[in-house]
Amino acid sequence: MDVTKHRLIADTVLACGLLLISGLAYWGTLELPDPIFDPLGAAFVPKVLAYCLAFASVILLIKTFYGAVKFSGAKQNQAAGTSEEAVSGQEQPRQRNWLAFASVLLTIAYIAVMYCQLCGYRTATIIFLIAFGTMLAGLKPKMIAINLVIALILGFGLYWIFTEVLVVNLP
Amino acid sequence: MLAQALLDTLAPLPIFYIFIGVALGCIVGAIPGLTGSMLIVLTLPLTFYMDSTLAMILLVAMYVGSISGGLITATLLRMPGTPSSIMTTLDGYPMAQQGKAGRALGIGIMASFVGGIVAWIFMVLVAPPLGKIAVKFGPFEYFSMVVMALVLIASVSEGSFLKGIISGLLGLLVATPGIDPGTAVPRLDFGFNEMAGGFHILPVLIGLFGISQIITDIVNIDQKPEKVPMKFSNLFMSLRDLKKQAVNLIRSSVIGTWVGILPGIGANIGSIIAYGAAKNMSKTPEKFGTGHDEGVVASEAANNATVSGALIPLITLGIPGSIIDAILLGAMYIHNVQPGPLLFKTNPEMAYGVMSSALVANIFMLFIMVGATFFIAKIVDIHKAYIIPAIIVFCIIGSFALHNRMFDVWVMFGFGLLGFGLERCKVPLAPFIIGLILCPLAELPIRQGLMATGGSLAPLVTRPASLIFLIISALTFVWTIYQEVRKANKSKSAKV
Repeated sequence: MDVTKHRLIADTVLACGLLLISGLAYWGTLELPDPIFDPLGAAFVPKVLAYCLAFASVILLIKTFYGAVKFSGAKQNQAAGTSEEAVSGQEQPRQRNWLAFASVLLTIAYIAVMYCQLCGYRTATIIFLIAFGTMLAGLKPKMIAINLVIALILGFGLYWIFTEVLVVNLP
Repeated sequence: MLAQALLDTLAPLPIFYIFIGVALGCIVGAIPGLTGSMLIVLTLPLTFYMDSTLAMILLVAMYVGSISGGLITATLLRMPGTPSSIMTTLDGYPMAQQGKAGRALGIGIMASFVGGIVAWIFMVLVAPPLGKIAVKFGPFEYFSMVVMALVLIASVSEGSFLKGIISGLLGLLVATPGIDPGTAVPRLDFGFNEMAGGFHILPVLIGLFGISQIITDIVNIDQKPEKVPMKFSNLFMSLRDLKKQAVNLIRSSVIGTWVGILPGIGANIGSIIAYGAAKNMSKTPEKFGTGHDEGVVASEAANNATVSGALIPLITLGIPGSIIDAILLGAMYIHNVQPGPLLFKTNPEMAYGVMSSALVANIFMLFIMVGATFFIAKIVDIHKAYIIPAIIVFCIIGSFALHNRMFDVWVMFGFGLLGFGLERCKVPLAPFIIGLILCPLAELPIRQGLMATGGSLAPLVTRPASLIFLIISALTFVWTIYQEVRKANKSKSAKV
């Protein structure tokens, strides 16, 4: 997918997401009481911000729509084989989106395990660090060994510092 | 008062914190992908248990170190450790390729030091009198000042002005849930008990600057820059060079300080402007970009000068000059210190402590950078697979330790994903964070002001300072839109 098309999709998703957020904020202000002494009241600021955000999102959506119209026009006029990447001729560095997605899932699992109290901080952290480190670096014995040491230090060391020194009970 | 604060800063404990802060800052600043903002937000939870002045001293030292550390990788890898060193890559890396890595680093370190000291002198001269003027500001001036800060930062942020404005509005909106400051009514909690207190600044900051950066690092984990062979000699700038670069040093430092004072404009803009000015005024502008001393000096003097420059509005007005300053402002709130014009009256030890720590941190930075650049350059080689998971664990513990509840961890992670998404859509994060921090500072005063005037907004335009701030905001707004339209028309005609 070329850069312009990618940008147009991203902006459309962004504008829709922002409209959703502003709608949610506006809905949240409906149940707030009317002001008595205060001329503005509790709902005024979030309501104004919700309006402004919605307005800005609509402008973004319109800009994106016109961008998309121009883009499709430019595509039709474009000669075969002269895509943006081909013109630039530069090799883009590989982006590991799937790895980032897997990392996000693994982190959610790590937080959820502690949230649901399926296991405590120490066990969850050690497993998480080894799994995450291996996922990023691959199955190399040296790296796994170093990750294991880091996992033990952070698992037990941080637990000790927080519970004994800073008196914060970790999950 | 300043002399007393300097003496206090020279006590063993503050000196220890400054050393640790500058050293960690230099290391983190040198590692591409890790930023000073990330270091400071991850350190914040550990400062809960410290004296508030000591905590600020530590954080300011990290700030100074992190801006300086970027020089190392900008020179050796052509990859700035911090965005503020982006202009250093243009001349630092070619110098390193020519076998002059030590010289590039040496003049860069000295320029950073001079920039920091010049800006510090400005801070000492300007901050206390400005603080006295700012005490006279009322709620309407405060509101106008926040509007000005948001418009300014949105106008200079990367990407489109519209996205900058959207980011600022989103930040302001995120600050509204919780107990309403005027009526004490729970607001936008959507029935969740945990939301009654709103989103705490800390998990939001950790998410935006920790998690979002980490996800970006994972996406780009295959990017491995080539390191040039290096010789670490000439790490001290000679007196001859110092004399030769004196005008450039002072000019770039003054530019950096001035850019730092303007709300919301970060160190990278300071170094870009100073680099441009140095090139325009140079006798050999054609040499810029090919490994020229003047380029490194201009960039490094300016980016370090922005640190103390940006501390001026922070301690006098409670307005952050950059993202890190916004985090420092958040740190003050977390330590129950009310930033703003009254800081010099209510917490003079903190105001002067911040000022004195900036000076001592700059001196430490000089010695640490000269003495440890070789080791810091080695640390940069550590595989990201060891660092990234550990940072996530720190992000989680830091958020949890705030209130001992997992809700804050989910908030942190949610804002991390939001921050990553926003950056992917080219929405700058700086207006978001400044909106988040400044919303309470704008909302409560304007509501109090309106109660006092019976609902009349007239003082916004009848009070001179407020009117000036609003005029600056309006002019910036119109000028930025005009520039964007002009740019769009130009590119249209270029295509035709």
